[in-house]
Amino acid sequence: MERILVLGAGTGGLVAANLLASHGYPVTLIEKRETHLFQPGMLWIAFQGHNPSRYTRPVKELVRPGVELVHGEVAGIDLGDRLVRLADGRTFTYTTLIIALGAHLDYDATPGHRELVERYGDFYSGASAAEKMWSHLRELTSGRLVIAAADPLYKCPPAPHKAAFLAAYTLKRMGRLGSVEVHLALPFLHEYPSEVVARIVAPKLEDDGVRVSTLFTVESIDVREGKIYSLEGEELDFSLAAVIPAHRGPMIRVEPGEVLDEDGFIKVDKYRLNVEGYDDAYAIGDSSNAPTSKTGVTAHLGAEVVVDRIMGYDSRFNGRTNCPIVADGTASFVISSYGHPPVPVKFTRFKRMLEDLFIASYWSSLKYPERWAPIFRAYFNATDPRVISGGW
Amino acid sequence: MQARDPLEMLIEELGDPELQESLEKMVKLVKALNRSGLLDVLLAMADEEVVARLSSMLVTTGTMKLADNIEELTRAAGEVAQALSEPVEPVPLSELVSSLRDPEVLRGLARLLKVLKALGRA
Repeated sequence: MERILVLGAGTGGLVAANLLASHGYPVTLIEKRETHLFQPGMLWIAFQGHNPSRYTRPVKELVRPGVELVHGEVAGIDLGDRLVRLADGRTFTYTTLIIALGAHLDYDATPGHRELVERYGDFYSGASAAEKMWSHLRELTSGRLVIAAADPLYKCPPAPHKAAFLAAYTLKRMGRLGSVEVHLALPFLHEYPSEVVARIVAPKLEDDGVRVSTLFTVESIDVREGKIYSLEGEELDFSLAAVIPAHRGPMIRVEPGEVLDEDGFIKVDKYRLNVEGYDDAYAIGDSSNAPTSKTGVTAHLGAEVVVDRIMGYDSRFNGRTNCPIVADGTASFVISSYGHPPVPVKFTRFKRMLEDLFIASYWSSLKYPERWAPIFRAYFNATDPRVISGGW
Repeated sequence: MQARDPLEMLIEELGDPELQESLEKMVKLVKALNRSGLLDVLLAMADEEVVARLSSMLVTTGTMKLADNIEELTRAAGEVAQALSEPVEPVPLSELVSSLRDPEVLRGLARLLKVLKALGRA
């Protein structure tokens, strides 16, 4: 009997499971957490003091009738035997598998990192860590706030920039920007991996009072001394710091091991998103090695492609990104796709409003993705990087 | 902790005067929408194909660029409207040439050329 198994109720997993259910497929969704977190919300919790309840919902409220929700932690996948094993010993067989387990945040890869997060929180590991960051930021009256990354590969490439913009805005309102320095330390050659985007972001960072260091990849952190050391041999003093951890593939045992790359991400065909060598298993979102940004948008679009393919359509994923760079009252987007580098997108108030609308539609788009598909499709066509290559 | 009966929770909520007032207004609104025939229009429009056609017509590269520059456009339109309301005399050819020394006129002409180029491209 047909049984589609979806692993993980993040953006990609929920969109895939709900879409399949809307088309009448029998779906089982396995998730270890009771609550779904809108991950970009952590930025607003950590740097603007928003209430976490705005960004969290019980998973069971986001699942459509027709999706069987199983609460459990995936421990292993056997692709040959079409078998998924949970940590508590339960096993599930499938006819089609969709892996949407996200990335693992490796806080142990950088000495001192775990201690830093335990002390100050951050904006990656969860809503309560973000609240902790906020409780320290609101008390910060002087010194330096450092936003940095331990590796150039992480979810949401403009996240550290957004963090710096939002923190600078908050400190400015408190009248402390100046006595507190907001310092963005990036592991890239420019202010953004893409030089085109860097040329737009750099002047905005300067205007908003954010100091920037480039070629600064965090190697170790001394919490007691308040120092961050970089792989490139530099150091930065801090009063408060948030460091984005190195990302790895999901921490599960996968057979055969050859389908994982050296960082544990699942190797996929970048267009069809099937696991390399298997046509009955797919990986979407952060857990795959698809050469595009790790973001909710790519997970959502990937889920749509996989569901189309399961339904028999020859749908292809084009690696489209639409990462918002939110600043004070304005926003820009990092718009790119496979074979098309990011295009120049200026900061405007309209784009900030668009981002607010995207956020407002988030919960509904998870549960009723087919309702939003035509609207999103129109937006993605209108802003296809090939069409707006001259800029937007 | 035992999960509460949803029906029991709803009955408790209904005792709230603020909810009662909101519901009364909601009923009035729905009735008014129905009488005006708007509800029928909305119902017909809540169709996947209609939404798709409407979105592909409204959300285009052109409208995205237009909305993005709406502030500049309305500012320019405001200036033009103001200029139109001011009295003018016919300009003799000699003055026309000398007005080309005005940096604002020159900037305007440069913009006009850009607009012409964009029109040609479109």
